Amino acid sequence: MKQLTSLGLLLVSLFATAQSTDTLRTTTVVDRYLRVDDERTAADSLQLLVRSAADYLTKDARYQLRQYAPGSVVTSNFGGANPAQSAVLWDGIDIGSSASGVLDLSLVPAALLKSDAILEGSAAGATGTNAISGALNLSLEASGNREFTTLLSTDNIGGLGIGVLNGGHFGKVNYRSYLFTQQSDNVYPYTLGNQRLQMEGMAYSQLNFMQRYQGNFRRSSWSSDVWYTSGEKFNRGSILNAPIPSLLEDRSLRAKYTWEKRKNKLTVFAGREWQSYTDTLNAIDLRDTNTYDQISIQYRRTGEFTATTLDANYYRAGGTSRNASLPSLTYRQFVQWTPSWSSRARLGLFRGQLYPAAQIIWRQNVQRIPIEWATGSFYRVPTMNELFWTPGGNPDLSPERSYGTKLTASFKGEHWSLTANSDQLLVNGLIQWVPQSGTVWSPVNFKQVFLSTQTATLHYKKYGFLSTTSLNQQYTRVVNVSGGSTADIGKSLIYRPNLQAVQTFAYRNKQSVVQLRSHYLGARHTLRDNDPTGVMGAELWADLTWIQEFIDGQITTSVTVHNLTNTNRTYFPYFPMPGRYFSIQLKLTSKK
Amino acid sequence: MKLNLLTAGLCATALFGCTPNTTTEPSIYDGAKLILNEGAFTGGTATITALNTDTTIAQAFLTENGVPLGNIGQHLLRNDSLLYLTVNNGNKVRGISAATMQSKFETTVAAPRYLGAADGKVYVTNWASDFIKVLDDTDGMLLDSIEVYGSSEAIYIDYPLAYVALNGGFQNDHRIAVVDLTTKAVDTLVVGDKPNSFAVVSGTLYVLCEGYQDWSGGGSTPASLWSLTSTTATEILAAPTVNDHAIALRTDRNALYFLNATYNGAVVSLSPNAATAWPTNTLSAGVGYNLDIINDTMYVHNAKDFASAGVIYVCDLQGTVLDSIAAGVIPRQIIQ
Repeated sequence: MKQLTSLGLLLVSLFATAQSTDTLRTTTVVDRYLRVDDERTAADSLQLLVRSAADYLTKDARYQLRQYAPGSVVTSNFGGANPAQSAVLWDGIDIGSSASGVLDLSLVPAALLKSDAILEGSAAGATGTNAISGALNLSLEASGNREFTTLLSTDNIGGLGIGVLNGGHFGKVNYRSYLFTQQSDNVYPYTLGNQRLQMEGMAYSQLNFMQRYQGNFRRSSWSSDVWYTSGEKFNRGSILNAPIPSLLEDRSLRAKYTWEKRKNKLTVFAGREWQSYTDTLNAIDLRDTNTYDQISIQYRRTGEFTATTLDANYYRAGGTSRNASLPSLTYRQFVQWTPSWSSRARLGLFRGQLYPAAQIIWRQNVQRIPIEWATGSFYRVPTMNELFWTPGGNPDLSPERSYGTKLTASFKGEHWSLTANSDQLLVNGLIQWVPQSGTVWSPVNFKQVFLSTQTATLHYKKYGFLSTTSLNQQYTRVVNVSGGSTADIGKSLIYRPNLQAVQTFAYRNKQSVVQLRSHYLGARHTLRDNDPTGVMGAELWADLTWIQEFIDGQITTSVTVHNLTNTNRTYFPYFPMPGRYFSIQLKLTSKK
Repeated sequence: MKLNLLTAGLCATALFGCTPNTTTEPSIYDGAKLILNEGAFTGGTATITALNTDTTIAQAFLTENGVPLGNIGQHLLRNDSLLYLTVNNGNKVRGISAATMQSKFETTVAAPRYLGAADGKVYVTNWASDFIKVLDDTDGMLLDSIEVYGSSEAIYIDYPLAYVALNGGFQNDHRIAVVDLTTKAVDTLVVGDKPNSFAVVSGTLYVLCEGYQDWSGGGSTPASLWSLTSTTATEILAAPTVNDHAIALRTDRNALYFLNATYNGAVVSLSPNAATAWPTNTLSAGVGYNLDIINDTMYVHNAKDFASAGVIYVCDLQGTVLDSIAAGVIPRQIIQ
């Protein structure tokens, strides 16, 4: 009660501050970090409609993907942190699962990615309700422009995708809907040692449906969204395992309604995810079925120099392995103190405890070379699985605490732009599952880790030629561990490449576009003690795409040769990704 | 043309005529200790570490065959010139040349656990059926299945009898199946919950029961030690609390040794004829994931965090650490 009173007083004082500031300043709220905008090629614009977010984002070296096979379950991060430490926002609502901490981006359509979707590094802590590093913003806008687009995608490893994008308006109501269904046998050859093998058993199918309406009513604006996802993914393709059924089923329904009037914005969100994992060993049928519910109400008030956000969340995780519900309350305050200085504060009430977080931001808004420096401390509260999983959940876990600083600079020329980041992040009390006495594993606040990430994105565009260079250099180390063995101190975190790079060249000649995109994924450790037997070597591969447009772009076809050099590619040991294969996309649209 | 054929014929004759060199170099695997490492549970492969006096090969099977063993190495058994290996999640039993580490056969058996060999056959317990599988010990061909009426774990063969621990797999069981391998007649004996390992001291067969660990309620039961004959099972000792569980019963032919917890257990020992209470005096630190005893030397397998290369502590029978051996991920077993 005392803490609620404190929170209430703090809210009142900050509202008061916000109001007084509102009347004194004259500049405009920035409330947006300096970041790299996605420079989309013609191929990207098409891929955006037929790929998952996980696939699409591989064009950006800041995004680190781990996947068993194309279309399979994805874990990913933005700048070194682990997935649970990053925010995934849908129009400002944090939909990163509080049950598992991970939102599977293979089930998120890339069509939701706006050009500024990624915010990497420690500065992103203030964007969601529970982030430490990195954020991904999702949104489907309904501009009201009439369009009807049909989409077809297929490849020679068994993939087929069909979709429809529809938009327009009736009266003052804009609408847009997106429906895409995709399946793949995922059958492809690969080589292991002296053996030629064939990947089978990684088939998947998924469906995404989204519908958005938005409009105005008197002085208010409103929008409503529905998003349904269904996925079935087999995972039995590794040579390590015999071909026994192992199936992950996932269905989720999310709905959101937003009402906005002048400075006030209210969003109500409700979502339910149902997930089932079945592992069948003849007589043994392991089936783990879990549900996750989230109800969120977000109120946001935007002043001339302030933005106040209040999130009330209710989470419920049920099913085979846990049964718990948790409310949380998060208050966020942005204040633009001067044209150069601003601050963001976050205060969370979780399981009866208050957790503060804050960040200061300095922005040098020089016209050609804006520079931004942000430094602060954030927290990530434990997931419900970490707290309540049976067996092993640890209800005594503390939130992870981060201390980060990030410097961003952007340079622009007539035909080029360069954005560079340097991000340093220290995470205390990193949560990790460790074996306890008995057959139980439990999560504990175990490690202190340091992550240093440098990124650079260079765009060059002249005449019909476009080049984008995306670099991500990373240094990770375990700084300390609490109790137990100290053998991990000084070791790199696993599955973090020290260097990742993506180079894109595209050339347009009238209605033809050719694109070459090369990927470099540096060596990664897979064992926590960095034992050399667990090192996965660096990989270099390239994709070549040819696009042809007809009738003012109303018909677009593309052919892509993936992994042109037939490189052995692997995100997880013994789960080889495809060698060279081909895909074809076709888009028919009414929009010129 | 004739000349070419004649030349080829002469060459062929000369080659066939050569006496093959029958002097074989001693294999690096001759006399080597072999460590079976389970590998990481998610996406990891089992490995075999071969240790000779001056050489260590970290991934011997992968090195010799170019392919991994598979997910979760469970049990390695040497029988004459072959090694037999159960790959638990990989659902296979492998036959491997002990001299060259070359793969000889691979037989699909769902969820295989432990192995026993006798009379030209290999017996495979498993969690996927109520039958133990009988394989030909030379080519791995599936010859027969014997119903044992439960998910089977450890097996001890005193031919023609086989004692099969029925531990319920992911569930609970508390029986020993006594199988006549010649007639396939099966009888069962009731013991403690989740029997997991056998050892013989002075001609008496003992079985260690882990006890049931009930995560969802108050149904846990304590570990216990039983002596067996083909017709009787007698409880020798039981652990004092339901939180006490035990695995890996081993012997130096005089005393019994085991780990007092299923993860990070410490070694305890007892004299089965003189023991009156559950042993609490630990001989090692609580770091053991498994335990082996070879020639009066104790090997305590330490899996560390289960995501790093493990280590095996070499100890005397009093638990004094004499040496350590770098192993692979989750070392499970060492044989010689």
